Amino acid sequence: MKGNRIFLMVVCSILALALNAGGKQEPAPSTDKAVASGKTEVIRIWSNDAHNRDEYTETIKKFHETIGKDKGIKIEYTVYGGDYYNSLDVAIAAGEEPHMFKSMKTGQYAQTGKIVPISELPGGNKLIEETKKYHFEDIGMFGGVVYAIPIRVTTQNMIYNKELFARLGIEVPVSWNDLREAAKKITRAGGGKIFGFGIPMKYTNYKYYHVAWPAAPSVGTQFFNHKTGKFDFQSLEPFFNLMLQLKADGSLFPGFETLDYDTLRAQFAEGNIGMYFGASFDVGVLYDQFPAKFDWGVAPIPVMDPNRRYKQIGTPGAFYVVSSRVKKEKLEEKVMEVYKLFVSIEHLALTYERGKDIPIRGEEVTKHAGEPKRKQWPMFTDLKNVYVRLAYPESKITVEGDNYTDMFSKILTGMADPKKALADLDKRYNTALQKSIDGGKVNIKLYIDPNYDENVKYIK
Amino acid sequence: MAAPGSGTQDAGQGLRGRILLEGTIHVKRKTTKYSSYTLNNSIQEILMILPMFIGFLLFTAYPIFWALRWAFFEYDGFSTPIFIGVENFIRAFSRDPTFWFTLYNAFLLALAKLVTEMPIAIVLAVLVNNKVKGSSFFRIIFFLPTVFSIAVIGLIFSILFSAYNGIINELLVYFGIVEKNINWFGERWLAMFVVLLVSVWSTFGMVMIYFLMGLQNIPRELYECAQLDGASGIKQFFHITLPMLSPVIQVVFMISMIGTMKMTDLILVMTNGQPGGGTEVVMTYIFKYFFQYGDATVTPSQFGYASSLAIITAIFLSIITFIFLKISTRMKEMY
Repeated sequence: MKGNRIFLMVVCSILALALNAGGKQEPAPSTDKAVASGKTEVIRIWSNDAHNRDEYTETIKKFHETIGKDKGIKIEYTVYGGDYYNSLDVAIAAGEEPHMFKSMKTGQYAQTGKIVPISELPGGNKLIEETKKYHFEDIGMFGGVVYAIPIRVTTQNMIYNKELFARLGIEVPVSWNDLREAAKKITRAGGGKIFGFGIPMKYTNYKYYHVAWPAAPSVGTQFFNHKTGKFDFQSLEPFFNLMLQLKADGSLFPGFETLDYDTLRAQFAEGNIGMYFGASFDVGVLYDQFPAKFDWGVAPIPVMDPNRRYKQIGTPGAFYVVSSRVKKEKLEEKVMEVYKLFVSIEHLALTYERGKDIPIRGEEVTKHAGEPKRKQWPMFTDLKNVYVRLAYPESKITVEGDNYTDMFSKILTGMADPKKALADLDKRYNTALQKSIDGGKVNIKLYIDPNYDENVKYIK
Repeated sequence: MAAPGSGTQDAGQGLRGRILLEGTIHVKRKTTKYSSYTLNNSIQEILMILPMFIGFLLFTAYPIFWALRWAFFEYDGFSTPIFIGVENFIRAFSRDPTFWFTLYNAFLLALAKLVTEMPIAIVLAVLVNNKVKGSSFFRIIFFLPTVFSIAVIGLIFSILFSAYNGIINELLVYFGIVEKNINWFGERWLAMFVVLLVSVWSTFGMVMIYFLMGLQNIPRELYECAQLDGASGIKQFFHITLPMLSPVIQVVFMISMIGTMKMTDLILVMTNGQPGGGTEVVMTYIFKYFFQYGDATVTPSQFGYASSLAIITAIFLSIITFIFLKISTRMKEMY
């Protein structure tokens, strides 16, 4: 009997533990709340922005010494690495998410009530009003409701080895032909050690930063046409042809099929790559992470026809959303204080002058900032010829067969014919889009820019 | 009046009765002790199995039922699941040639690995089984790759085979075998070759250990008899060693085949399916439907479809295993 009792006790304990571990848990109250008997609250924030960690830490430190001290707020700011979004999904599913976090899946989180609209937070409407020009559907906004205030914009340009260009007597390329010739010259002079151009196909976002967006100044659209509201992969065909020509010339840095972005930047910093299409965040990387061993320059992305140039693409970024747990824990006031700090002019000006982030609010912020010290930075921060893009409705459609990332890879590795592959993508993506429009999942009007032609026009 | 002797009889009966009664009590006591011993034993056994069983329920049975359930839904992990019947299976069978290509790729890799790894492992096992000086050292050396993490192995070999400044290319050029660097990951068959090479390198030590254990179970007398009969070393290998190892070979074949078909981490680290999906295998393909990764990735996961692909793959693997076990029955019965 005694043995039976012990056996039952052990089984019950194990089952209780297992159920507790597997079951959905209510968010635990913050530790400080319990410890400091309601005086100081810990606001947990997650991000994957490593490049501006120092500036955020500095701002938070100042906040702790001033407002934080007065209002009893302590910020716990954690920066995660590569698998941030999957870790975040797991935390959200388990009800363990932080109070505020950087998000890319605003729509999905909003749809399931995981995050709260900014308007439901104290002072939220004022904040929305101040930034009303920068709210786009699927980028911080979902179903017309604002869930995140955009902070920065990421811009693009061509980054090149200035010293190498000068040594070989090469002019900075303006057209695709110039680019091809320059890449050939560099490769020829490099003797198998230096190559003209680099593209990192192992980088998950190469499809945007190294294909769709650098093609935009030449073709006037990305792979989704914000004028027609349809996918337009075929517009990228000339760009793919250019890349295939560079490949055939032997000008692409070898092993580009499995090259990741860090390796590309490290090789550029060593002087082994002549040029590549870079982004504004590369300035920090080429100074801090992989300091370039030579003078490097920034130039507008070369275009197919220099007489017919469109604006380059800018991508809104850094969307901090607020978890719905904030309401349950009655932390709206305190979280909003932190939110205001993150979008404050002072903080944004700091990240700007340090050459880390370009504020989406442009001059409204930059006029308060000191002169940026890094000389390549102003080329990225001039938003005159930048089209801050709208979202693509890809998060609301289910596409069958190869997605465009795979198809781009197939084209660039010679496993698919560009013409046929891009036509096939258009067909499948537009069919899926139509299905979502018919099913009421996509309101296509939200993805159309009525003044598209005017907005992408290049300003001389 | 009682009959003469009846007292004795009675006494005798009484005594017998007492003995019987005591015997019964004794037996009863013994039975109680025995059953309590058995019960305690059973409790112990159950308790010992329990953690494993709970682990099995949580990490094997539950995920299987989870996948079985969602395979009939359109579900991205967030929004409301929509029941779509067998639509996911229809899509996989009729409209997803890439899935079948990745399954074929995995099968090809598994087959190529068997053909290369098995002979290497058997030969090495036979060599290190000999009690000669240094055999223990080589056992450790050959087994060593097995203990490294696949991520580290993948990274190291990516660097070794790099198209730019890779040591392999440098050596090939230095010895005049090739004129210019080979882009190992730029062409499907070359990339598959490198993946195969790395995969064999990382597991042949383990396979060798299995064979070594098998070899050590072969009675020495068989070899002594064969030697007396004048059988050469090669004859002994083909007529004693291989047949006696056949049950081990059968098991190792199956484990290796299924293990390679399920290869995921090595592909993700080394090629991530490049070039152009040429090295994508079935598990990485399913993985990418389950988990979307990358900074600007907003494409929703397709849990439902991924679950249906996982089920189809599991059925396919079961069929392969069944066929293999059927074909190889003789191997088990050989000795």
